[in-house]
Amino acid sequence: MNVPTTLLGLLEPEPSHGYELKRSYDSLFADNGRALSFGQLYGTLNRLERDGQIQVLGAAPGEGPDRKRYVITETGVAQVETWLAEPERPEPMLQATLFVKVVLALLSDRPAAKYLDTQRDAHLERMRELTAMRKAGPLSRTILADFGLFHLEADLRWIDMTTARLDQLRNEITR
Amino acid sequence: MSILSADHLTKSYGSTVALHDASMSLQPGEILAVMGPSGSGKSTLLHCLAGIFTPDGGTVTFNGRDLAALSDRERTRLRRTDFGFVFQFGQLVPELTAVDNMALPLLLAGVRRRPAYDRAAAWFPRLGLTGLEGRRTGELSGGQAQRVAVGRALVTGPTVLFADEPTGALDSLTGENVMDLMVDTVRTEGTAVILVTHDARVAAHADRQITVRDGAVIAPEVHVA
Amino acid sequence: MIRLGLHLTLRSGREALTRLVVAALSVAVGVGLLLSVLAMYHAYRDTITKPCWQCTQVADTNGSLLWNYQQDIYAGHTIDRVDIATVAAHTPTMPGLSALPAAGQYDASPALVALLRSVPTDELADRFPGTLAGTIGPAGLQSPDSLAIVVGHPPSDLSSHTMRISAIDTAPRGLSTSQIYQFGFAMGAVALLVPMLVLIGNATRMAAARREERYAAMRLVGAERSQINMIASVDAVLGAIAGAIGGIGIYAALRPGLVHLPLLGYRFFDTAITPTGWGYLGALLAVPAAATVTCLASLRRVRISPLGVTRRVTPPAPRMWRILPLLIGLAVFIVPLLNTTKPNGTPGLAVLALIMVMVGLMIAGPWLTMAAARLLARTSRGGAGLLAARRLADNPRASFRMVSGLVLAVMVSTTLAALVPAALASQDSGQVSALQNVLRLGFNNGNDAPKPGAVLGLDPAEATQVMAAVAAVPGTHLIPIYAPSTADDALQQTGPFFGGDSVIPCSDARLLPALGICPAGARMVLADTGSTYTDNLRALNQTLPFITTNSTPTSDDMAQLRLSDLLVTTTSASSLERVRTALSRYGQDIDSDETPMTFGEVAAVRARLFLAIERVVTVLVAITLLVAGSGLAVAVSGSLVERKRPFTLLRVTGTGLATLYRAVLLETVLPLLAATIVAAGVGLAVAYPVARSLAPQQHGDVLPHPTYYLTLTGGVLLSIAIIAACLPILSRITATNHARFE
Repeated sequence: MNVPTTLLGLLEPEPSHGYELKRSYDSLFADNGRALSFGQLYGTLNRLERDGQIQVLGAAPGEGPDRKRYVITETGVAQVETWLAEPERPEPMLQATLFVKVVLALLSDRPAAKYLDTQRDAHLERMRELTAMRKAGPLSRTILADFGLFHLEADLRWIDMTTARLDQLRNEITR
Repeated sequence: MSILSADHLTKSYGSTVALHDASMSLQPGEILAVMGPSGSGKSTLLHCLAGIFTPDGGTVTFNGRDLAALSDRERTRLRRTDFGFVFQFGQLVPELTAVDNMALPLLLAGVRRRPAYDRAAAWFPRLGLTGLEGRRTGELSGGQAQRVAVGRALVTGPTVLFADEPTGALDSLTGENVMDLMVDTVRTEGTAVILVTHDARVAAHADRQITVRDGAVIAPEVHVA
Repeated sequence: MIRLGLHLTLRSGREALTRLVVAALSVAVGVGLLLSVLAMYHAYRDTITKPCWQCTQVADTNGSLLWNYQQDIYAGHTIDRVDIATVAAHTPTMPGLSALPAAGQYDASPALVALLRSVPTDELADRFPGTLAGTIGPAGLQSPDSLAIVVGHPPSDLSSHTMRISAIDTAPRGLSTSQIYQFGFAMGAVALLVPMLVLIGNATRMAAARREERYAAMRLVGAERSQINMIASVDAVLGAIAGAIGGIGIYAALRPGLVHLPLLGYRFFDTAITPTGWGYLGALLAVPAAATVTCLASLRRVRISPLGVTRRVTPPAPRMWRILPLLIGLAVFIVPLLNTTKPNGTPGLAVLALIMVMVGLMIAGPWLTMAAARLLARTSRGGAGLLAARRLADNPRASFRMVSGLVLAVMVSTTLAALVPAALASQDSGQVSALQNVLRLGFNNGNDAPKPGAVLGLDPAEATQVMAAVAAVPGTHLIPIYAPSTADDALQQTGPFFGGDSVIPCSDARLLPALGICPAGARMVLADTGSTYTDNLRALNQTLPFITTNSTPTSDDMAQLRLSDLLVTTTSASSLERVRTALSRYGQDIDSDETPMTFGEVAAVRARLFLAIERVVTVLVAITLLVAGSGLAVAVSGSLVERKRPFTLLRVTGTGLATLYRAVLLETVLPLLAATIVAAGVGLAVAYPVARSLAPQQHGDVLPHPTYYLTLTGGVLLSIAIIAACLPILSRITATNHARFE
């Protein structure tokens, strides 16, 4: 789960206050992982600001952190772009990340289907490697490879079904 | 240098568009998985590639020859000599024994009886079917029947093997065994394979995969190491 | 490829083999019956083209042969008798004889020779003077049963009436009935051929769906269309050839029976009963060829692609126009019958129309089936009715095809069953008369048309001799019928002389009460005995009694009257024959056109033709029903086997076997009934005008006849029995432990 890039993704459509960011994050992704604590939120935002991926917009000095509005920078957008386009390394327990990516892509009107296809290809590539491994034997390795294959297959099924329902999902989260 | 390629194929059944602008190519000896959800047009693509269907538009080229330019007779001959087929089920002639089925393409191609049966029988040990030569199709298990089908598809030494959900009617382990056997055999024979499947684990036996969605082919762009 | 086809047909397991056997059996039944019909037809042709020496009539005053042909009779069997005498050298030859018998000798047919040996001489042998010299060969006989004799005499023994000829006729008899027979055979062949084709068609189409799957699988691995056609043909030809050979076997088995089948009232010569080389050749070549064509035609209608069998788009529901050909055929058949005064019209056109009616019935069948299915769907509530209605509406053609052979059989048999009794009734051949066993002798000798006013009959001296000879046979009573004298007092009162008026002595008439009772005190009366010349017993009965209390007594002197007729009552068959034997010596006195026969025998001759037709019809209907029944059995079991999977699934999902039985029974019986009702109607429509034209006016409505109902009910019951007999297959093939779910 990549919290910094997720926050960047949420900031991309429009500038936002920290409090609003937390609320969108929680409503979209809390089921997926864990709700964001304020400490984690402001720590991350500070780090992003330091790295030049976001800027504070018209902040009055002395005001509390929750009065700051943040806006994404060019560098930040590039970071989101790269992260979304690049398939995750196919390995077990990816669902949280993949889910965030899909939602962010939809929120930012990026080609979610294409990202999923790319992820799919990556998964299949990995499955081919595992298939070669399981064929090479011995049985202990074959069985281990099978474990990976079945998990990847589960991911792939999820990818396929999500691909088929992207339009519905877009309607739901951008409502 | 592809042996079989499709360029901008279109095919409709009445008002239903099964393929629109589908293109792909197959390299010699390559195993290509064609994936996609049900009804996406992947079987139609296979049937067009095999010359069973004639596409409404676009061309299928096999070894430099346009399939549409061939007569039905020539296409039939092509299927007999250069193509092999493995389907989900039902492609064996039920009244015949396993060895009869295996020898059938050779007999149809005009090979004399004795050499045809000798060649057919030689495949049984390769496919782990020793002793089942005399069984009728109905007396074989699903996996055995599929292995006979694989043997029958390969007995004529085809250049391309078309496999449409070859493990679709089998359980996981039997399916894996059939796939392993098929892949090993085509590797030895140097046969290229068009493997139509919706099953990722089957597709993982291929060298690469393309996806058919809504009648169009989506080929992977990025390769991840 | 042929070897592959053979291999596929012969070594493809039980189902394929069963199919082959059933196909072969069906073809065998058809071929066997067809060969039998051909053989009988050949024998019939052979018989009617036999030279008719009996027909010799051309007199030649310079001829070398005296020729006196008469028909004699023994126990109802006609004997062709010719008395000859050679008056010059160069005598003509007769068919069946190397030389004519010399005086004092006779040549007889084998059947007559046997008869002569087996019955008392005074009943038969004494009629023929001389000794047996030889037998008449088959060339001169119509049948091995023919009774014929050629008796040689010295010229002086034959009377002056005897015809003098120079040549014996060898032309065939101009059989007035031959056209009827031709028509009968043609109709029989058509009636038999169509159900047979249906039978063979059903057999080759059996389990077609399963076969087509196999062909699709072969197409996939690269079989060309021509290879598939070749394999299918090998399959069909193999069955057909096996069937044709089996059919020859069936014919061989039937043949001994055919020899004894008195199709025309007598048997045919053994050697004449053969389908001829051409017939065999046709069976061995044409039938397999026809089977191949049928098979390829049925393959044409399905598109077998490598992906499987794609039947042509669901055929559109049959339309109303399908009944048109039937109506046109009926019109063509009936209209000429109504327009011409001659019954039967033109046989050629009638046969054509009949074929059209049959074909029309086949075309109309699917529409009828659909109509019946709609009715069923509307009225039935049970699952069985619904299943059956669905199946029928789904493919009315296939459903009708199953029963089509039987429907045709019903139509043909209805036509015949309605026609024949009407024809027979109009002939009154079944009538019985009080004079049934009374022998009548006519003495209008001289043979020529009487000159006006001439008095006919035997003169009293001759009459006394003849009557004495007959009276000498024990157990006889004689009733003489005299020609009245021109001076008869009674005739002067009743008016001018006319031939029917005869004089009957009352004392003799009393011996035969059926003649009537004289007025009290009368010794002799005038009576109209003209109807004794009829061969129609009904007409005879209507004029009995000849004598009533109103009859005019006459006082003629019996001893002066000429004897015109003699009625003889006998007490037994043997005394009847003895009377005939006694009379044979007076053959020249008896009217040469008149054989001494009882009234019953005369009527029997008249009825013979119609009885023969009835026999032919019975045989034909039986065969047609048999063939059609086999066709139905093949079709029903074939359709059950073909639908094994859906039936099994229905059964697995809890449909009771009884429901399935009812559904199959309904879907088969319903088109059968619907088409039978129409077929019966058509049959009646075909038969009615013919029957009308055959039947005399006074008979009123000749239809329907009980035989007709019996035939119809019998046919329907037979078919239901056949269907029911096929049902157990259903239980076996749908047994759940055999179910395979592919």
